[in-house]
Amino acid sequence: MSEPKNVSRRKLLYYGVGGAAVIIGGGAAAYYLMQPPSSTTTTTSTTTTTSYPKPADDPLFFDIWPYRPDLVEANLTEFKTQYAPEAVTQAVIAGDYAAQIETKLIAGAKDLDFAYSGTATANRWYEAGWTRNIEDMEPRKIGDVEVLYSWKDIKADLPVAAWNCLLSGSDGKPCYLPYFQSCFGNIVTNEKLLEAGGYADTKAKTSIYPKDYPELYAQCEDMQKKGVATSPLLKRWGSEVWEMGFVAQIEAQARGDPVFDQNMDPVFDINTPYADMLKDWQHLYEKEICPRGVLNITEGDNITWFETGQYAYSEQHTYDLFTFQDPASSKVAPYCSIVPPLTKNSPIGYLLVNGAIISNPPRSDWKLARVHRLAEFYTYKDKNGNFYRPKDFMVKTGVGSPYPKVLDDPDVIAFVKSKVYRDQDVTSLKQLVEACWMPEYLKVGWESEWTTMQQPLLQQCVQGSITVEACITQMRTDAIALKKKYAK
Amino acid sequence: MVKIRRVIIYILAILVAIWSIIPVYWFINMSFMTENEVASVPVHFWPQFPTLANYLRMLGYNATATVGNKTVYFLPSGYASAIKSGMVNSTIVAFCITAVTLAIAIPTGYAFGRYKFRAKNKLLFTLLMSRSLPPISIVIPFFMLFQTIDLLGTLSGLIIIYTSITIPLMTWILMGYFATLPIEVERAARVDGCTRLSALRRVVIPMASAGIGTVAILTFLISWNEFLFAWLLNAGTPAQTLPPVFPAMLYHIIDNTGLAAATIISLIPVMAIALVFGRYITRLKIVDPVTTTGG
Amino acid sequence: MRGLKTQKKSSSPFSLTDEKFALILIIPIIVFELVLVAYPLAYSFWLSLNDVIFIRRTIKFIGPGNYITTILDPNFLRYLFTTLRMTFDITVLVIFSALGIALLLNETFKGRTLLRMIVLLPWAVSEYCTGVIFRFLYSEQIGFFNSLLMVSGLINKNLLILTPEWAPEFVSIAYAWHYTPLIVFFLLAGLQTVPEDLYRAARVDGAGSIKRFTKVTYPHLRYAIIISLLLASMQAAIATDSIILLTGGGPGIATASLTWHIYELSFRNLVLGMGAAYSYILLVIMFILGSAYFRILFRKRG
Repeated sequence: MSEPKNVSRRKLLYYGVGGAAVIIGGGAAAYYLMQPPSSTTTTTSTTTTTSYPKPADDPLFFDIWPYRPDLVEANLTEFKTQYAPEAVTQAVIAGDYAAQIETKLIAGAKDLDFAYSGTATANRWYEAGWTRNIEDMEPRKIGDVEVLYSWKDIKADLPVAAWNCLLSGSDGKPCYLPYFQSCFGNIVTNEKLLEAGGYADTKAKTSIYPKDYPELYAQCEDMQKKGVATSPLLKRWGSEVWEMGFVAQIEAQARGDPVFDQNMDPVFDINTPYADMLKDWQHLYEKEICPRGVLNITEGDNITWFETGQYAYSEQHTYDLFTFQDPASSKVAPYCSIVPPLTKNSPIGYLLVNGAIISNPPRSDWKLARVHRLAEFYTYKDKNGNFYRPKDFMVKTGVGSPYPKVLDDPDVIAFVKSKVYRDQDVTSLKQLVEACWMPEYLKVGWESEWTTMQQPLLQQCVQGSITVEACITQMRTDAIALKKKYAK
Repeated sequence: MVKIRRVIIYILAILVAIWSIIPVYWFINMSFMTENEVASVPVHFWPQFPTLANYLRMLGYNATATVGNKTVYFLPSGYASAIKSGMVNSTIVAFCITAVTLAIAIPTGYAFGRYKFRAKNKLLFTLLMSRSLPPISIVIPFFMLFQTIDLLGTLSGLIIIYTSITIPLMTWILMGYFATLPIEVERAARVDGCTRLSALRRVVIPMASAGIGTVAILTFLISWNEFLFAWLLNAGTPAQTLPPVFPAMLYHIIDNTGLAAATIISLIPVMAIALVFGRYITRLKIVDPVTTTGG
Repeated sequence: MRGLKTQKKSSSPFSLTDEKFALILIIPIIVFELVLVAYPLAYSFWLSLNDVIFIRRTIKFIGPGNYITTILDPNFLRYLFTTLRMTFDITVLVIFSALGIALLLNETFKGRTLLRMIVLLPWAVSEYCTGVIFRFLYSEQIGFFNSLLMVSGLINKNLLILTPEWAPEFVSIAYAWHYTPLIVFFLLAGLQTVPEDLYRAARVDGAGSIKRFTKVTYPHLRYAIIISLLLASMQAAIATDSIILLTGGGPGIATASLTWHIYELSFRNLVLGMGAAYSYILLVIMFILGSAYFRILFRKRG
C-alpha cells in the first residue's frame, strides 16, 4: 500500500528536480550563448607599461547607418592599410540610429568608439557626459600610434559658420567632428513645370525664382490656377518626428522671426511672423496647393513623390539635387534646379553639419590615440595629407563636404558640374552654403525634444483642427515647460 | 435556382480571394520594379521591366537591372546584414519560445482542463486578463529590468518577454483542448497503474498531439510576427530580430522597392509554414474554457 | 483493483490528491504571472506616481500629479474616443466579414481548400507588415487604390484616402484585413458542429437562405459569435503595430489611439511617468472589458 506511494513520490521528486535543472540549465546556457559579443578591451590604464595589445585584439568600434556601407567599408579598409596594423569593427545600425547610439552610450559605450550624430544629438550627448570634446586631439605619438593633426588644423580648414556648428552650446568646445554638410530647407525646382507656368525657359535656362516664401506660395497658387499641376508644392509636413517643426523654424527665421532668444525663451507669438507663416500654411492646405497626403508620408516618400515629376517646388536637402538629376530613378531629370539665396528672406534653409562623435568610456591613452587617428582619417585628412574620405564621398555620392579645399577640388567641381541643370547652379549651391547658417538654439539639449512635440500640433493647425492662436500658445507653453524641466 | 446559388458562391469566393491577395500582390509588384517605375504616374500595376535586383541586393548581393535600354547597377543594400541576421535571430527566438511555451502551457492547460482546485476561477480570470495586457504597457518595466540585469538587447530577454503574449493564449487553447479529450482513456491508464504524471506523459499528451502541434505552430508564427518588443528592446543590437528593420527602411534611409522585397522575403517562411501546417490552424477548435472545464 | 483513479480524500498527509497534483502543475504559470504580469503592473504603477527625466536619470515622486495632468489634458477624451472608435470599427468589420467568409467556406464547392489557404494569408502577414503594406496601398501619390481609381476613370486627380476625418476607418480596415482569418476559422469550427439534418429539415419546410440562417445556424453559432466579439474587441483596443507603421498616429492626431499615445509619451517625448499613467488608465479599461467577458460567459452558462 505504501510502496506505490513511495515510488510515485520519488518519481515526482526526480521529475521536479530534473525538470528544474533542465529549465535552469537550459536557461543559463541560452543566456550566456546569446550575450552580445563583448569587447575584450581592458579598461585599466596602461600608461605605465610600454607593451600594447595587438589592435586585432582590441578593435575600434564604429557604428554606421545603412547609407552606402560599402563605401564606408572601403574607406575603413584604406584606413587599416595606411595605418597598419589597425582593426576597426564596423556595425550597421538598422533602426532609429540616434536612439540606438544613445542607448549604447548610456550603457557605458563598451563597444562604441565612433558614431554619427547631428548637432542636436551631439550637444545632448556631450552635455550628459557621454561623448568627449576634441580639444585633446593633438599630434602625438604613443607606442607606434601617431596622431598627425590637431583640432586647430581642422578649425583652420573650415569656414567659420561650419566650425560654429561643431561648438557645444554648453561650454563652447568643439563636441563633434564634421562628416558631411548640407543645407536643409532650400527649394529644388522642376524647371519643366515652371516653364509650363511661365516662370522659366528651359531652352535659355533662365528662371524667375521667388524671393521669399510668400512669393513662393503665390507662384504655386498661380501655377495651380493655370492647371500646370494640381498641387505644385511639396512641403515637409510629413510624419517624421523632426521634419515639420524643423521647417517651421527654418521658414520663421527666413521671415524674420528668431523663434528663441539667447536665454531660450520663446519670442514667437500670435502676432509675430511665425503666426503669419502658419496662416499661410493653412491656406496652402485648404487650397491643396500642397497635397494633403503629405501629412502621412516619410522623408523617403517626399523624395519619391518629387521624382514623379508632378511637383514644381519642394523643400529638400541640397545633396538630394543629385538624386533628382539621376535619370535612373527620377522623372524630373535633367530639369531639376535649385533656388538661390536672392534675399535674406529667401528659402535658404539651415546649415547642417552632420558629424561624428567620440564616445567617452575609460580608455588608455594609446587607445584614445587610435580613436583620434580614426576620427581624423574619417573626418579630415589621411596619412598623406589628402582629404581622402571627404573627397571620396563627395565624388561618389554628391554628399557635401564642409571643407572649401574639397569643394574647390577640380574633380569635385567636375562632378558637380556634370550633374547640375546649368553651370550657374554650381554657383547657386556655393551661395546657399555661404548664406545658410545654424541658429545657436539648435544646440540646446531639449530643443529637439520640443521639435518632436510640435509635430502633431503643427499638423492639426495646418489641417484647421486647431487655430493658429491655440497652436502657438501650446507651443510656447511646451517650450517654457521644457526649459523649466531641464533647468540646471 | 441552385445554379444561381452556385454562381453567387463562386463570385463571392473570387472576391474574397482577391481581397485577401491584393495587398501582398501590391508588394510583390513593387518588389520586382526599380525605383523609376514606382515613381511613375500612373503607377504600374505590373512591372514593365521586371527585375530580381531588389531581392538580390536586400540579401547582400550585387545586382543589375535593365530599364529600357539602360542598365542600372545596384550595390548590396546597407540593410542586407540586418535582414539576414534578423532572420536567423527571429528563427532562434521562435524555436525557443515555442519550447518554453509548450513546457508551461501543456501542464497548465491540462490542470485547468481536467482538474478542479482552489482559486481555479481566480487564476483563470487572471490568465484572461494577462491576455488583454497591452504590450506597450509592460515594455518600460521590462526595459528597466533588462537594463539592470544586462538582458537588454539579448535574445533571451526577448524570449522572456514573449511568454507574456504566448503563454496566456496557448494555455487557453490547450485548456479547452484537454477538456474535450475522452477521459476514459486517461482513467484506463490510471487503472492500469500509471501515476497521474505518467498518464499525462504517456497517454494524454500523445492524444493531444494535434492540438499541441497547432499550438506550437501558432506560437512560432506569433513570435516571428511580433514587432513591438523586438523593436523597442532589441533594435540596433546584434540580437536584433527581423521586424525592426522595417521602420528603419520607412523612416531613415529610404528604399521603397527594397522595402517591398524585404517584406516579401520576410513573408516567405511564414507562408511556407502556413501552407504546410495550415490545416492545423484552419481546423483549430477554440473551445471556451469557462464552460467546457466546468469552472 | 487498487482504486487509485479517483482519490479525492487522502489518508496520509504525504499522498497526492487530484487537487494537489493540479496545484503542482500550475506552479510554472504562477511564476509566469508573478514575473510577467504582477511585476510590470507594480512597476508601472510606481512609475506613474513619479516625474521621470529619462536623459538625466532623475526621478521625483509627485503622487497623483500625472493622473491629474492626464485627466486635464484636452486631448485625453480624444485619444479615448479614437480608441473606442477604431475598436468599434474593427469589431464590426471583423465579425461581419468573418461570418460571411465562414458561411462561404462552409459550402461545398470546387476550390474550397484553396480558398481556405488563401483566406489564411492575411493572418500570416504580420500586423506590422500589414501596416507597411497598407501605407503603400493608401498612398496618395504612388498608392494602389489611387491608381486603380484613376485608371478606371473614376477620379481625375490624386485621391487622399487618409484624411483627418476618415483615417481611423481606413486603419481599421487594414487591421481587420489582418485579423479576420483567425475569427473565420473559429466561426467555421462552430458552423461545422451544426448537424446537416437540421438544414435539410428546414429546407423541406420551405425555409429560404435567410430563414435557415436565423433559425438553424445562428442559435448554434451565437455563442461563438459572442466570444468572437469579445476577442476581437479586446485585441482591437490594444492594436499598436499597425498604427505605428501605417500612420504614426496621424494625420495630426486622427489615429492616435491610447496605445499610440502611450508609445509617444514613453519613447518619443520621453515622459515615462505620464506614459505609465496613461498605461494604467488603459489597463483599467481593459479590466472592465475583461470582467464583462467573464460575467457574460458565466451568465450564459447558467
